Formats: sequence, C-alpha cells, structure tokens
Amino acid sequence: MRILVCIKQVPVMAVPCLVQGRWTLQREGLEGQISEHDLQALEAALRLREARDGEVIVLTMGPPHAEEALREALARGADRALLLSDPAFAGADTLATSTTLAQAIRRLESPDLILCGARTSDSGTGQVGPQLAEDLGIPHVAYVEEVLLEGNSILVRRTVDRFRETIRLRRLPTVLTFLRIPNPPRQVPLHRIHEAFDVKPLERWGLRKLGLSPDQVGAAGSATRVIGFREPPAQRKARVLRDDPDRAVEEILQALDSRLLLNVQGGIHDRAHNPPES
Amino acid sequence: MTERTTPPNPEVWVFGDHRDYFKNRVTLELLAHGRSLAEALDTRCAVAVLGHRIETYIMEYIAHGAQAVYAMTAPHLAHFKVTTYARALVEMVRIYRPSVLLIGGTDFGMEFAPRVAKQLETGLSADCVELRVDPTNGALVQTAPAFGGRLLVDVITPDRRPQMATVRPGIFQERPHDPEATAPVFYVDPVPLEENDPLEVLEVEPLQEEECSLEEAQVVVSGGRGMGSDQGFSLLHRLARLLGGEVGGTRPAVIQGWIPKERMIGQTGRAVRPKVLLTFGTSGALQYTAAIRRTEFIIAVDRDPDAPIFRTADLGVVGDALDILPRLIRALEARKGTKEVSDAESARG
Repeated sequence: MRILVCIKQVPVMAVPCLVQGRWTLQREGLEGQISEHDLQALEAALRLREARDGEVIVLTMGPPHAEEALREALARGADRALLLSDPAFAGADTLATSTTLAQAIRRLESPDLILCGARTSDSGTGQVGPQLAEDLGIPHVAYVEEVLLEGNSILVRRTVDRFRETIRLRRLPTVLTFLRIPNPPRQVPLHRIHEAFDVKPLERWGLRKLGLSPDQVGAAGSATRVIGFREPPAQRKARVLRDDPDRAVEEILQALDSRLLLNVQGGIHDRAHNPPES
Repeated sequence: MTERTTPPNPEVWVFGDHRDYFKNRVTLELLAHGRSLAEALDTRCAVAVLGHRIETYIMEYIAHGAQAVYAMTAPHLAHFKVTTYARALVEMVRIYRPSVLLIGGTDFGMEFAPRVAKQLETGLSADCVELRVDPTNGALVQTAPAFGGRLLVDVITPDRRPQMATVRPGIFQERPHDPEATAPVFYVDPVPLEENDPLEVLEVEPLQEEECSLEEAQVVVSGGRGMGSDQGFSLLHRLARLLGGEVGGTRPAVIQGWIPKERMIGQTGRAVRPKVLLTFGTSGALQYTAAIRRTEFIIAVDRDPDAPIFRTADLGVVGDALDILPRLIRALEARKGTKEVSDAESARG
C-alpha cells in the first residue's frame, strides 16, 4: 500500500504556558514545525503501514527551508520525501495549492491513500484536502478518527455535525483528512535522525518538472487576493481596572447585579422570586 | 406596475442547509446578511436549495427574507452527499451566474464549499467574520481571522465569479419571520445520481454527547490558556454554579484537556449570546471573540494589559484569573450565605 501524506510547515508560535507554577514562553529552536493535524495524518499513515506493508511518502509545497519539515517526517518514519519548491509557487491560495499538489500526485506512482490534516494550524482554511480530491476526481472524507483496512476497501469512522458516521470506500485512492486521532504522534527516535538526513531520499521538484504553466500556480493561479491586514476594530469600550483585585471583584459583582438583576442575593434563578423593584 | 422578475445585477446567493432546521440557523443568518449585501449591489438575495420534499423549507426561507429561491428536488438528493450536492450547486450556478455565493460553515459546508469553488475555479474564503461590499468597485470584501487570530485579513476575488465565502454559525443575526413575504421559486432539473460511487455511508448515528445548552445559557463562564490547569477550570465550574451558568472554554483549553470539545466556544466550536459572559485567561483570538460578540455584557480578566480581549469586553480586569476567581467566588458565597441566613430568618418569622 502506498500512502502519501501532505504536510505543511507552519511558523512556531510562542505560547505562554504554566510550568511548575511559573509562566514561561515555550519556544522551540526551530523556524517552523509540521502543522499539528498533519502530524496526526502522518501518525495514521505510519500505523497503516505497520498493519500492511507499504511505503509512506511525505509531500510538501513551500520555500526551500520547508525541507526541515520533510526531514522531520522522515525521522518520524516516512520512507521518502518530495519537496515542491519554486519561486512561481509563492502566494498560492487553496485553489492554486490544490492544483500544484494534485499535479505532483499524478506524477508520483499512483498512491492508494492521500492523507493530510483537516486544517493547518496557521491559516487553517481546511480547503486544500477537499480541493485536492476534487482535482484528482476522487472521494474525500474529512475529520477521520479511525481507518480500518478491509481487503481492497477501507472503512472509516468520523464525527460530523454531531453525527457519528461509518463510511466504506469501495475503491481507492481516496483523500482522508484528520483533525484528531486517538493515537498521539510518536516521538522521534534518535537513531532515525541521521537516517533522515543521510539515507532516506528527498527529491525536489519545481514548476518545469510538474509540467504546469506559471499562470496555474502561485499568486498568478490564485482566484483570491489579499488586500490587507488590519487590527480588528475595538467592538466595545471596556472600562479596564488594574492593581486592585478587591475593587475589581466589587465592580464585577455590581455589573452582575445590574445585568442579571441578581438583587444582591443568590443566583439568577432567584429572579422569579425576587422581582426587581421598578 | 409590473413586478420585476430579474434584478439588474447578478444576484447574491445563499446555500440552503436545511438539516436540523430548528437548531441549525446558519442559513437564516447568512440570508439576513446577504440581504444587506444585495441591497448594496442593487440586486436580490436568493437561496439555492437542494433536497427531496423541501417545500416547507422554501416557504421558511422566503419568510426569513429570501427574495427568490432556486430549487433542485429529487429523491436522490434527500441526503446531503458532498459530491452529488457539489455537482448540483455548480450546475445551478452555471445557469444563473450569481455574483456572490455564501455557504454556512458547518462540518458539511466545510467539505462541500471547497469542492464547489474548485469546480467553478473561483476563490473561497473560509470562516469569514465580516462580509461587505466595497462601494468604489462593488467587490465583496471577505474578512477572516489571520495570524493566530490577532489580525484580520481582507481578501477579494478580483476576476472570478461567484465570490465565495463560508461563515460559521452565530456570526450574523437572522431576520424576523415574516409569514406574509412572497418570492418567486425557480425549479432546476435535477442532476443525475452518480453511477458506481466508491463512497458508501454505512451508518449514521446521532452523537451521544453531554447535554449542554451553552447557546441558550443566560450566563456563561469561560476560560482559556491563562487558567493554567484543570484545577483552574474547577474554579470556573464553581463560579458557574453560583451564577446558574454554563462553562465553556477556548480551543487551547480544549487541547489541554481542561474542558470537553463539546464546550468549546469559538468559530470551530459553539457561538454563545448570554446576558453576561465572564471570560478568564482568554487573550481574545478572533476565532474566539467572533463567537462571543453577540453577548450583552462581557467581563474579561486577563494578565496581559494589551490582550485583544479588552477590546471586545465591557468590563476588563488586568490580573491573574487564579487570583481574581477565588475572591469573586468567596464574595458570591458570602452573599449566598447571608441570603440563606436571612431566608431562614424570614421563614421563622
């Protein structure tokens, strides 16, 4: 079974975390990391390969340094990697991205499964998976939680709009996208790191190799255009209190009283019994 | 005076997602906003709806503001199947060529809309929190959260049509129901059923999830990364009990496992509109603030004085949630104690 995993390198965001009672900014020494849900897709792929022999190929489109993400995926256990990188690919929206990825997939020896995260942790539109499937003319199932192999077909389970669904795909290939799987991504074994750099193959393809024209990819092949970023307008004018927690608590209580008609006593359920005086 | 049957400009369309009609209001919310876009574009706002035996929904859409309805009905359209529905809607768009097409950002919508956009080779913006018409050129400006929710990005679809966007439930406000409203209904020949579809849905069962009425709650207490731990969250539960409210949390809190996924407030979770929301340790990512903005009064506590949550709140407290919360709980408990004593006294008297 040949399994292709599409991954994206996203910026590492410094996030404050409470570690041993202290607030610290957690930062890894990397410029980028593999998007969270793509890692889950990779984990699902590695488990499927363990269940049935095969090959896991990782694919990404990005600037040259996106190679780091591919090396990490190789260290995690993927067999080989393909980097789609070309200045012409820059500025792609999901339409152009899906065109580029689909063309690369057509040129790879036909995979049985194409897996990726249901949305990336940066822009996170969740549109590339379904658009890739549309381009390739194959099915797509999003939010997959479980994949079971059954001869030549597969069974998948997922939850959508508060329904649990069991779906059979009678023919492959198919695109599956993941939001959460029960198995956390595995740790990177140290001995695999040198394999990822020295042993396992990593290919680089540009526009010419894909056989697409420049107006199908990148910003030129995109239907949308970003016209600007801005700070969100303040939606309300908050009265902001600081430095005096007791006074802050008093103000919160007053706000609750007037908004919920708490009438100084008890909870909101007392309203019926204690109608406010008017 | 003869009634105008076709508007002067290409229309604004809203996809009619009529599953779970009484709870799933996103179509009606988009319809209300679509009406204002249509007005700015000097055209009408229509619903495109697919299904089997959907006459009731067509009437409902008209009562909620649809100025025209395009419908495709057939037994094989009874189920919301992504590939069939995408082909069907693409067919309708190719016939009538609307300028704008809005689709509700349900799980189904997020699988369906990208396929429709891809077939039409047009642009699609996900999770929009604002949609407006640029008065200088009539372009639909699609605004969505960017960079982890600190900034907004404005996007246009300059050349291709329709201009497409998905919007999560709870972003816009639906219009009141007007049973007197009338509008033309156009039926389109159904697309055929796919032969030999490799995808087969074997089983569908409603999720047995914890009954939680976050959307209807009058008081919501919510926490984010700044709560630090699930002990922090237990304080939120105590406060919620004191106020007769429900507890929710941000996406980071869900990822940390401090609160179940069903209680996530945000664009990919639930939208709330209580009388009062108390939000603790939430910096105010746009994905979160978009889902709380219909709250009447927002009280926010966060350590970071520059946190964007203070631009969304009515009352802000710069401080550690883990310091403020116990004080607030003690104060409310003291009042409750006083009240119980006085109730007991009045019962005696």
